[in-house]
Amino acid sequence: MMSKLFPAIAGLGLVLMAPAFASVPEHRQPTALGRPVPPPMLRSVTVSLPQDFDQDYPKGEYVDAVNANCRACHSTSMVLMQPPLSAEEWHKEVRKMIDVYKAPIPEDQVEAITRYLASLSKGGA
Amino acid sequence: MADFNPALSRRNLLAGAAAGGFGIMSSPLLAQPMVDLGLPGKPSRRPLTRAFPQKGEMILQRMRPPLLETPMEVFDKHILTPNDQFYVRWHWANIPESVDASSFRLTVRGHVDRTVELTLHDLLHGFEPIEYVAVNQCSGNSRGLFVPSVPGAEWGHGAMGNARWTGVRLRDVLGQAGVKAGAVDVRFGGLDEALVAEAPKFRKSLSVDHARDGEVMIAYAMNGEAMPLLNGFPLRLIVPGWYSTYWVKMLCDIEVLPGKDDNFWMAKAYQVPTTPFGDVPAGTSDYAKEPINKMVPRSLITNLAEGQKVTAGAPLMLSGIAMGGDCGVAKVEISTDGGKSWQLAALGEDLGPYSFRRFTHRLALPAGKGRITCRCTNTRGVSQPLGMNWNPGGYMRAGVETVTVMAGGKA
Ligand code: HEC
Repeated sequence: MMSKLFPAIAGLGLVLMAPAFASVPEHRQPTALGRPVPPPMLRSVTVSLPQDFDQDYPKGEYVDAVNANCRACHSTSMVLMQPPLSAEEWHKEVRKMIDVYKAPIPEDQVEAITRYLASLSKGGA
Repeated sequence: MADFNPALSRRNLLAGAAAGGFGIMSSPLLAQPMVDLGLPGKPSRRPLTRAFPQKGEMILQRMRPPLLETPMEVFDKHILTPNDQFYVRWHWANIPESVDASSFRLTVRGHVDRTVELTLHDLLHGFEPIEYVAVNQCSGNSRGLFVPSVPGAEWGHGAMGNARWTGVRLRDVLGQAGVKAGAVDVRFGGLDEALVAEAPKFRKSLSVDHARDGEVMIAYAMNGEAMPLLNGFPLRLIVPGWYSTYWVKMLCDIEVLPGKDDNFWMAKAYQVPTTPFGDVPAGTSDYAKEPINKMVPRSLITNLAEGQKVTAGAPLMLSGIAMGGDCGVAKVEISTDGGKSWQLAALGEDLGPYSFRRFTHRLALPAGKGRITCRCTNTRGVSQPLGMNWNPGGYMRAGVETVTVMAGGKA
């Protein structure tokens, strides 16, 4: 269903959805305000969101495992702005990424990733 | 998915690295202004950014998916938060960068008499419009200030905003589809998708009674204009008095369910203790839980920064914002003695029960360190607690906030 609803790329073609609000009939006035609400012009919108897939984690032992597995879904800042966490807490985070958010992380990388993150929390990396 | 924009990405890449404290600015031209959110025991500085479409200057928490925080000065200047500085919060980075206004459809389906597909034109012209002002606040607003710290988006106080929303009643739209007897929940989804097919798409639900209370709105305008794409263009669910997690952005799918919604975002994420203010002793993880729901009262002084110098003995005008949570603001009080005594602040214009309310108060401080605390009591008689509430999810921070200033001789 989503593919049907997902809008085609519209470019910047301006599609006017609403005529001027003078045409809002009496019965559509909101009771609370007692004045007509002008429908806004809903035009097609195209934007470009900034990306940062290429941003590396700070250098350190096992950084390759973290670069390979921890930046597909979110910026590195999601990880780097966290409070210092223990190895056990970081392990829980990594498991959550795999078990809940379905991060395709090879099991044999979990240990290395956890070590990197724990040492980051100790001020190293 | 998204197009890669090298210019933006290079600039922000460096800013992001600097925020982590690991990058070295190679050129002063690339230096970006930073703010310190005063977050205890964790990285506290964040870059300011203008790199996001339809957005002015914002505090960059995370570029992808965007977490953009509203700077405190914005709340001092405006009681209605301007659209271009209204905070932004997404869970998955699969956000469409294009929305075609003519082919967009809002579907109502599930436990209904007939599936309905509505165009934007249908919504703008086929239903009675309604409008009200309401605060939209992230469940985790101010999480960065939690002591002890908890993992998550480490926000300062700016994961909230107040806007005038215009749209149609969810009740009326559900009515067109005809909710069948036995309906329990109504689930909402947007155009955004999870990055991994098996991962949980972001979806939230309300009980069918709440969905049909006549207040919950499908908004097409924010402060009189189409909303910025990052705030949910073209449609956003408005659930006044409830935390923003229910205010589904880019709303395109409404599904009436014959049973309780047990999807991850309702049953596992966004759980709070059932205690008042979701408060449990720090470190507790074993408690009765429920999905986060109604907001609680809060107030913040907006015109004084932590550590600011003021003149001792001279009149000092305080200004701030208060919210009642799920009802209006009854009063805001100020204390300069750690909560032993309180003085009533003056309240500004009342824009409705779900809006921010301005408060102002004049006081004079003796020389030395001055601690100024504000406390909101809502129209249900609920006051902000004097001790800070805590829970492991970092939700619902609402204890009284204190600003410390230095009162000295005339400069
Ligand atoms: C499959 C996608 C995916 C991958 C890959 C991924 N994450 Fe996440 N991560 C998420 C999602 C979704 C969130 C929640 C985002 C939000 O709330 O905005 C999240 C949130 C987080 C958080 C914030 C705390 C929390 O629990 O919400 C941390 C820390 C984190 N991720 C660390 C990591 C680390 C470390 C890795 C590499 C092992 C990683 N992530 C890889 C999807 C992913």
